[in-house]
Amino acid sequence: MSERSDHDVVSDLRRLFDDERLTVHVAPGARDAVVSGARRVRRRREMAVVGSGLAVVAVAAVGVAVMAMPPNGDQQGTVAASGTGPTLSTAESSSVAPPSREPQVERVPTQSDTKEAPESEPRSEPPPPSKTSQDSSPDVPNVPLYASGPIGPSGWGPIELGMSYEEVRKAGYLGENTAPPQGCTTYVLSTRDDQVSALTISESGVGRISAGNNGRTPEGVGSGTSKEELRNTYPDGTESDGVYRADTGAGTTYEFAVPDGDEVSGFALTDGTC
Amino acid sequence: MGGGAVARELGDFGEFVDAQLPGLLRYGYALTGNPHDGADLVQTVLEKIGSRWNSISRKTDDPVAYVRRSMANAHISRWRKRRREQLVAELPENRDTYQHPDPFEHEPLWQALRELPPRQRAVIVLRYYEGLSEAEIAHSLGVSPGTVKSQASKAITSLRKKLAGAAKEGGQP
Repeated sequence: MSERSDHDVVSDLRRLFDDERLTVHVAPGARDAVVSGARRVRRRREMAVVGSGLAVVAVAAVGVAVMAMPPNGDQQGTVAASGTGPTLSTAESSSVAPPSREPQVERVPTQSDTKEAPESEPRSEPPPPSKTSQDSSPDVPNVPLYASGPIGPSGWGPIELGMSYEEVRKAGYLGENTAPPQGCTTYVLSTRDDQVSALTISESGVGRISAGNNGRTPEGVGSGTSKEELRNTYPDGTESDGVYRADTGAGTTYEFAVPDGDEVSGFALTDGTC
Repeated sequence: MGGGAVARELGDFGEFVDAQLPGLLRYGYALTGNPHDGADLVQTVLEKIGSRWNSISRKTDDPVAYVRRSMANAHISRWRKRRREQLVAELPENRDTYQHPDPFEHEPLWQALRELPPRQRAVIVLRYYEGLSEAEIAHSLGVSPGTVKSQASKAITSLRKKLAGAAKEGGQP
């Protein structure tokens, strides 16, 4: 008997998914590893919010709605150092034990933690040095800050992967009539920017930043880049279904659409959640 | 909310992780076709969700379902070459396939599933592992019900053909 009906396939599938060989044993220390990781992600996001909060305040103070963002070396460097570094370096520890530099989670942050990130601040509000301009109008979006610059491994200008819907909305990038995301929801930027066309946001924050026509990676790749140049720039990428994927080295991935196989027609930065 | 509240939130999340990890790892295995990738996916998604645990657990009635949907989406949208150090699952250190063969090596259906494109595979896993309806899958993956229907039907057809092909090749070497 070789020919199976669709019905047979379905019952085989159900049986397969019930198979006890799918059982995976939980590693000792798994809980601590995950909780430490969650705290790292959170800290990284908080650092990012500090950065964008400062930028928005600066715009309000000067009273200018349009401002070219410089690549912003300092802030991004800090975010990368405290957020992505430890995540990647888990490869150093060779056993199932959680990374030793992230010790007890249930405790109040240790000295090294507090030095690294101000966790004592409320997390839903960005902790800017001058609170007044932010706190007085929590629900009114700020004047959008027009960012300019490449879409880097952690985000684009003030928009970082992982920022919450509320944070993005308050920063003025989403239209007034948007509703919070349910699952991964795509929002077209109200700023009509040609570097970034849309953001996909879920309950766990911005998961995808889609480039516009003039969007570029820091390496200068974007719409119109030849496939050869793409491969030369990101030689470790892989291609399937017309999409060339390249790890940024910061736990995020560029996905370049190469539908016809000769040039990039668009790209997005994603952290894998959307 | 000070450091104590953060610690409490993470402690609460820790209990969720403890209770749900076995099921999530199993689901990750089914979803990715590989226990290492599955565990990697579980860890990545849980870390993100844990970083916003209070707000997510307040917004969703069923955080486990939320995690599973996030995993399906993450699996579809990423192809990571680099694996992380494995922290959450106890797996053979040595990934040499001679010493640790795939337990489903002789399971033609499993092998056929592996070859499905990630979205089709996710639809199949959500449908027959999770038991979700087509409408629920459409909502989870943010696609239309028509897309779910067509992906599911393509997947089943392709599984059926592959199984027929495998059977034709002879009663297994």
